[in-house]
Amino acid sequence: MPIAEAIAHLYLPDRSSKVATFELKNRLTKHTVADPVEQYRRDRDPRERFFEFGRCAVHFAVDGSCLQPVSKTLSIRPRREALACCSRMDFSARKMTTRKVCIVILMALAPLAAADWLTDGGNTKRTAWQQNETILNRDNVKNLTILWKLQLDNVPHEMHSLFPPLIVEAVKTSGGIKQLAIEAGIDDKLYAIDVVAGKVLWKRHFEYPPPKERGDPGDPLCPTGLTATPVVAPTDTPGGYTVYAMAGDGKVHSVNVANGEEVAQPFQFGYPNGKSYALNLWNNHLFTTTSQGCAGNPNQIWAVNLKDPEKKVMTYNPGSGGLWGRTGAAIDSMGTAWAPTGDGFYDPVKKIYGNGLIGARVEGRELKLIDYYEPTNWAWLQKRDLDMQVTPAIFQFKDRELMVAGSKECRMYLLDTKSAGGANHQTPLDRTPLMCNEEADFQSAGIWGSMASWEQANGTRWVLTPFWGAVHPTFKTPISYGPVSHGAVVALKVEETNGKFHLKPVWMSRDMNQAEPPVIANGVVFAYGSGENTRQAYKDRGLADFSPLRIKNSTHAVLYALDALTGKELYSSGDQIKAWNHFTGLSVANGRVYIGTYDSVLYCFGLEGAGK
Amino acid sequence: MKSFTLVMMISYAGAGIVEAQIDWPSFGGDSQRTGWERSDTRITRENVKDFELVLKRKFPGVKAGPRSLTPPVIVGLLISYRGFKELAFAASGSNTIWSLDADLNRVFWKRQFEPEKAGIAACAQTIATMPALVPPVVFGKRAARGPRRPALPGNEFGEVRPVFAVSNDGKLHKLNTSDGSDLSAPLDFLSANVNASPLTIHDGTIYASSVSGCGGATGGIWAIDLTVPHPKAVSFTWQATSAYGLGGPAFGNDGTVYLRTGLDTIQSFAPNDLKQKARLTLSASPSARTAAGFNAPTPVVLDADGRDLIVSSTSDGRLFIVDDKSFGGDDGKTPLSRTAPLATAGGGIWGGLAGWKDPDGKLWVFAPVWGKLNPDLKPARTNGAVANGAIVAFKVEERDGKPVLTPAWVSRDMRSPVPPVTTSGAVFALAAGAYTSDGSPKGPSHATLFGLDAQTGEQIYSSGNQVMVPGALTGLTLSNGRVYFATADGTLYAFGIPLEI
Repeated sequence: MPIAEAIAHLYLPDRSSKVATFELKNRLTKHTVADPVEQYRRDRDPRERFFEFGRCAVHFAVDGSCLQPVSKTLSIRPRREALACCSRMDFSARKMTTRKVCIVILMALAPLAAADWLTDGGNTKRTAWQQNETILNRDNVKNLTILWKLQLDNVPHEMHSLFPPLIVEAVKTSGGIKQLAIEAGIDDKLYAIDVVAGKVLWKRHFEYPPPKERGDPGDPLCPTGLTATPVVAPTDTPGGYTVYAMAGDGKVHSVNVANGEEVAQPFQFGYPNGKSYALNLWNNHLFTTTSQGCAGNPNQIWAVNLKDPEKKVMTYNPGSGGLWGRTGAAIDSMGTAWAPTGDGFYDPVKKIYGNGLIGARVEGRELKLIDYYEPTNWAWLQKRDLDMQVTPAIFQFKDRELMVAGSKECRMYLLDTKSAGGANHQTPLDRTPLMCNEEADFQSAGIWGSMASWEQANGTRWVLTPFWGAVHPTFKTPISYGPVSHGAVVALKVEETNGKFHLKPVWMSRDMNQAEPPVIANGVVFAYGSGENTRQAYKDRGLADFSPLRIKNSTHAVLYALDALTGKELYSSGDQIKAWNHFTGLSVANGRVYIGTYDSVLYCFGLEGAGK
Repeated sequence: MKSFTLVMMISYAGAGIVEAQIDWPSFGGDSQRTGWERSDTRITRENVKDFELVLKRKFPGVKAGPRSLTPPVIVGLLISYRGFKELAFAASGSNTIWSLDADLNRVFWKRQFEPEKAGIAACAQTIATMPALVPPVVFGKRAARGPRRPALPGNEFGEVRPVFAVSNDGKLHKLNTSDGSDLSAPLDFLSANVNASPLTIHDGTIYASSVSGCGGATGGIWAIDLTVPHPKAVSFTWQATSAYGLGGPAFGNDGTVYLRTGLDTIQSFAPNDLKQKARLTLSASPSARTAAGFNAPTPVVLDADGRDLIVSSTSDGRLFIVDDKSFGGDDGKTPLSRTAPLATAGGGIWGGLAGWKDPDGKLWVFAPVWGKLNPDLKPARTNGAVANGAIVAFKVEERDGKPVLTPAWVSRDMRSPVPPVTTSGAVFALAAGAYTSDGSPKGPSHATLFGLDAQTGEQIYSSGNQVMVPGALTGLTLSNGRVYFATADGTLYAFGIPLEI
């Protein structure tokens, strides 16, 4: 008897999460798996809640003889076995036992164990949550060791060097299926590294005539070269991936991850030496942000449709400030790109939105402002250079899509992506007290970089933030680990009672030397102190933000692993990492933790013998 | 750094909003002593009514007295080693200078100069000398005439900025605004025990005037050219027993120094070397009783489209105008114009004057008058009966080719008003309380700050009874949304528009 046409849902045994859906087709209606495959490719809107990241792992189509995955979720890539489609099986009720069906389903679901890290911040929403980690856990992470470290020939520019590597678990190369790390360097270098062998597979150097404009030598704010962490996307070919990288001349290169060959004509997206921030890719649209006005570049959100033959560049300019969230813009389920606007002024009548958070979305062929949030004390933030400059993390909480943002003032803001600041754009769902920066200092204190978020199996939603400098004397957490004078990571729970939302501090980590944005994986928070000298002003020099001065006084980075529930230190790299880093991040995938340093060394931490 | 500066400018320009933080570098806000803050970042005519007490800090160890604590000079934006700061620097007669974070009301640093040496007169311990900053470059300000002199360091965005202060032994200190340490060796400047005017820097030279009488100190005017490799003080001294005026000298746009040097006498001096240029003595009315406090209020210099008008007063309470071209006319004794006395016998103009240019380009002069007003004074508008004193406002108009002062309004009654300050179409005046004309307290009283409409004198704001002690007779500071004054018990107050922190 043919299986009736319907959609079946598969849950975890405790029904806490939906694992898969099965769209059932049958001969009676003359539908086969090919129909939903085509439908999912062309007609289904990726903005539908059905496809919301985190709602379901994978979607299948099933007919009388074939089971095929049709998922569009970026981070879920079935292995090649599944991609060979259609284990030809007879699914008729007479022939299939429950056991056989389960085996088939489990085989199909086995690819879900693969973990990628295809974009800075882990995903388009920048939660920095590696949801698919299964190798590292809070019990074994104490055994982390350096599996390899690779000295790359990238030349640092000002204080910038290596960006967080992008990890692709299964790339079909000429030498077989390989797990590759795509590492970008400021020197317009792009490397593919075999993470098992710890060797460079291929390398590209984007070359171009020196642009006319550039930042002043010695100015760390405006380095030349590649400044935006690239982004990787799967192609339609099984095992195929493209990395999109914007070189220092502002051109985006589309490079085959397998062999480093360009697969499309480079196109102009940004200004030469314009200092773009991490690329984000959503629904074939590439996004970035810019700040500091480097080389005359306006400070704004940028977008381009990769499917547009003209590659029309769309921008939204907030009229003031600079958009320097570490991981660029975070994109919600509706495609709205959220970015902090940094140090500037606020005048909504004149459409000026400095010192806030803006959300812009592509509509037609334009990037339009959808919503914004402005703290009520924006004038204070502007006066003291305590700007909102942290890439938010966007996440699902109950029936809402929320986000957390932060500022150098050292507060976190909880906002609703559907109404970022309420009717007046200035009312967050919650705002924490000052966690640090009692001095109201613009340097070496406050929240810098980006936020992070993860969800426990029981539905508890956590948000995390790093901060620099000493903890505020009035800020307390139920769990902490000694005095904090240089920086720490704070973890909070998102709570809601009778419609009132609250960010509830839970733990504060041990002291870290300039704590940087963490990554969460399988119950472990990976964090690091960059060891960077962040001082910009001196008693005897005044404002003296010069790269050589800061480089000279920087020390070394330290990687930590913390228990995600308590913040307890499970691992510290101690003195193993020899140099420091600036404005980069961690990548975590498949039992490995990656961190790059100023001297262009990429470190890979992991467990001996695991993940090969 | 350049790119950062450029970014800041682009940020401001792109926003269409020029909201740079303002400095208040010396008494009266500028060396012309106008008391006029050209563009406040937070005060508008409409929000003056919403003023609140935004700062109150009692400084320990300050001996009580009407001159023992100065209002502050203000650095609107210092990029310090502890972050961006708006800092207020106030000095006390106890040989101490404080730096206060004006937003957070926290002491940023305190510098106690050498412990009071033996021989420092008691009179010097209750007289504070207001410090001075290097004035910032102000876009659109008319450049000084004459050859361009080298700029003093410490005035560019992001640089180490100095604040200049005088200790009780007369030495000039150049202090790091970041921490109060000496940036260079102190210089011999004034006499010990000096009863000195506020310090002023004009075009790279620092000036102060003083009166004799306290502990043997000499009266006169002193200057040090800070742009030369080995700065040394020059002076022009006299037995100046009269009050020098609250602000000391006023400066023309060509650097000429104008100073009241005695009863109804005003002199001009060349900048830097203090060579005497001209002298004008106006005879007071024979029937006037000259009270010491009204002898020599600080003049104000008004920029009248390329010409400096110097407005000063006589001991019998008249205002007069001279200009930089003809200081006293052909006979050296005749001003361009003068008013009738503003007060009745026993009263007069106290401390100094203030000036303003309204949005229509009209020049104004504001005079703090103590005592009953002359009934012959017929301003266009009054704001109630005056029994103790008031601010009297004049417009500068032209008659027969000469500038004259036409009375425009008289404020409400005030006890012992000090020279006011102005911004955004509002005049702020401090009624210091009950004092005699020589600055001695006259029974219990308290200070009240008023906000007045600059065109009409109408009261917009009053601090009421929020301050319960007499105000100091040291003047007002106005900067970035706040009006500051000291009180006789060594407390610094500021009223203004609150900034949400």
